[in-house]
Amino acid sequence: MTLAVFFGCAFIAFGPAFALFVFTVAKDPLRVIILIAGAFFWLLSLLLSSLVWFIAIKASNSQDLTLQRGLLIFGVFFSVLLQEVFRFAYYRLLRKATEGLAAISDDDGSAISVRQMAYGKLCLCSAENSLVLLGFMLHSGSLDGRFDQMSLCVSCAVAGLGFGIMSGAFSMINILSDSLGPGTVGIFGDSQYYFIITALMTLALTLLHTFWGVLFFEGCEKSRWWVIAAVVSLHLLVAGLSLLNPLYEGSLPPVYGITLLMGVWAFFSSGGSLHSLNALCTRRKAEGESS
Amino acid sequence: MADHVENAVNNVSNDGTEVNRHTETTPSRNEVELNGQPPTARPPQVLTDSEEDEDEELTLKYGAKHVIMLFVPVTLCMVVVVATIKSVSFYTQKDGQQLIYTPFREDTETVGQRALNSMLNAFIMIGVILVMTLVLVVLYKYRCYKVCSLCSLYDAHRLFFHPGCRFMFCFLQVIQAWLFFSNLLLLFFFSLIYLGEVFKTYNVAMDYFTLAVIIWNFGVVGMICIHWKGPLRLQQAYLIMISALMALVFIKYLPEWTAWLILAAISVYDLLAVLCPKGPLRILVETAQERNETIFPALIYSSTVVWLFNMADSAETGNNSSHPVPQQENQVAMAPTAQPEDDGGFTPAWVNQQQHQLGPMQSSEDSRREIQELPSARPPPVEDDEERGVKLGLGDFIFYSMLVGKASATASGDWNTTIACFVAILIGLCLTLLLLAIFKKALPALPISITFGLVFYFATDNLVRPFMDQLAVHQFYI
Repeated sequence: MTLAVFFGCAFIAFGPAFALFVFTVAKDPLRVIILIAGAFFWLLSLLLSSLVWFIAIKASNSQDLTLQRGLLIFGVFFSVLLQEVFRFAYYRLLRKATEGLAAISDDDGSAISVRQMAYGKLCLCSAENSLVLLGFMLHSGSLDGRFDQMSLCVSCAVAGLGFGIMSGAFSMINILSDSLGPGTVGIFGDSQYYFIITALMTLALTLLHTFWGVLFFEGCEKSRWWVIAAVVSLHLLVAGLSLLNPLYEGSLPPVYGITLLMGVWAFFSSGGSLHSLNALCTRRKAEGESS
Repeated sequence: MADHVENAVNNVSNDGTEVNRHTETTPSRNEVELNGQPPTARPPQVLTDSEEDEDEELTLKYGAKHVIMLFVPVTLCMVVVVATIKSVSFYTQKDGQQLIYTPFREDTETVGQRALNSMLNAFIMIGVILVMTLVLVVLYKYRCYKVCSLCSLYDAHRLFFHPGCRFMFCFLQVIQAWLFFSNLLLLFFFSLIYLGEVFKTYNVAMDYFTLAVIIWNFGVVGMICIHWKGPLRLQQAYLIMISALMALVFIKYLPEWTAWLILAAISVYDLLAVLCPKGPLRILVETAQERNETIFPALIYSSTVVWLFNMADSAETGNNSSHPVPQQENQVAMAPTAQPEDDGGFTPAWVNQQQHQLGPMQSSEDSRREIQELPSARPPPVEDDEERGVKLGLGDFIFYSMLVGKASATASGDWNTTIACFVAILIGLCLTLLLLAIFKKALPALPISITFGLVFYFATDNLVRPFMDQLAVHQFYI
């Protein structure tokens, strides 16, 4: 408990999201707005789904525990579906807004490929690596075609990050504030890994939301409905896996497997390739030699 | 309390100042005013295929930049308030004291009685603000004649109004002195209490001599920074601090239901006062528009160093020079009269509505004259668009922080409710600025944010909290 657990769990859960925020979102004011609007949309979906759950709870017998659990599970799946609906709604909003941003200038380097974001998350965990990668990507001219496509791509990744951050905040922050105080985890026979598992799940979900944001965009842009269906069903799967808790072996490794899979998929679907990965490594080596 | 007067005065002066800017930029903005379309003039350095797309893009880009320039101080103020509420228990303790503007107590036997009392309290508070605003509107109308007395056009009026004007003018100075005093109170007395409570919370031993030195320096530097000159960041920090202190005072001394009702009522009041044809703020705006003048320069948070000019009537003081002085107000936020094609996105109307929410305000006659802008003056040429700043009234800061502070103090959902209110307020601010860009007329900034904040507070506290608690207990993830 106390500070060690607090900082450990906080950094596990929010470290990558914070790094992403600092290095890709914070310098462009428009992206910050998109991030916060994404958080807002997630919040709206949560509000509506808790309203539905609350009504169901009030209409049912509160003594029947299996019914309550069943209603909670229903609430979970309904909330997931509603989140995807709001993701789609936000995508439509962004699309309309980006049409006005089609000619965004690239002198401030704001046209960063989502590839870079996906790649940064997939392979590189340190800030320095992300910076090198971004610099390389910008210089190599490997950016795709039209700018509006690019900025919408980036916006969707940022929106996904907004979803993820808000989801993580709502899952994690109350628990973090509890972990600051004295106590013994699992003293009544529950698992003693509660905090760390929560932090790890939060991290996975944050990353997943970001990847799903990218994939959702790709699916909607290219009208590949199977991609959208895959995203929705994977989200449902992840939520379903979390229902296995506290059997952590059943929930955490599969979720991380799915996260990795999503990362790779998002990376390749947004235009990355093994070649660019290779080029990154050689360039880093070259830079290392020259400096 | 002084803050109510300040609020009223600030609301009033906000409108005046905004109108001044509005009229200033009218010549270059005629096409904007008339048809609401972005100006078709194009900045020479931008080359795209479509002028309107370019303008829209610039509008969105710079609008976004200015929105972020507001996000940061609002967030900081909220963080200070929430951090204080969470750590210092003094501000959440109800020791039975209430402000004189909320005389009715809420510890009644029945719920109906409590509701009635809180509604009466809110009614009284809003009434006080309304009365002060009206007084100021009246004063402004009469004062203008005195101000223009040297102008030959108004000579007849001057002869007619002068005796009454003098009396009103003294009254005006009394109000300004009152506001100066309230700022003094805030910087010395309230911060002394705050510091004392922080020391108590963390069990820090401090002798009175050190405390006196600290408070003295803090207060004096604050007064200088806010009312005269000072480094920009320091001034901004002080404005954020006094807004936070004011919000904390409100959180402590307003009873529960009264506070929520006041938040709702002041948003409605703001909406009506600005948008209704007979609203006091709108009358003030229109009057100032006719006079081509600013009203009271108030305490406004500004994100850039401002350049100041003397008023047209400075012939009275014999000083016609314009000089750049770093102060917190009257940098024409996004109304570049020298570069009409560089629309910051939200220019006159946005500045207008920013002027609505003002925090504690004070100005002496001299400082007021100094910082009131010459309507025909041009700001120094700004080479870089980033140097054009944004301004937000301190009343906005105070009420936003008060909402979030109350959410963190009283919500049983704890951090979820606080975060939800925080996001809601930021989105409300964004939407307000967006609406301004679309409508390009004076709009109030409080209603949308406060409405979102209130909706999300009650919804999160009552609906989302049990849901998330259940999910956390079972470790389900959505």
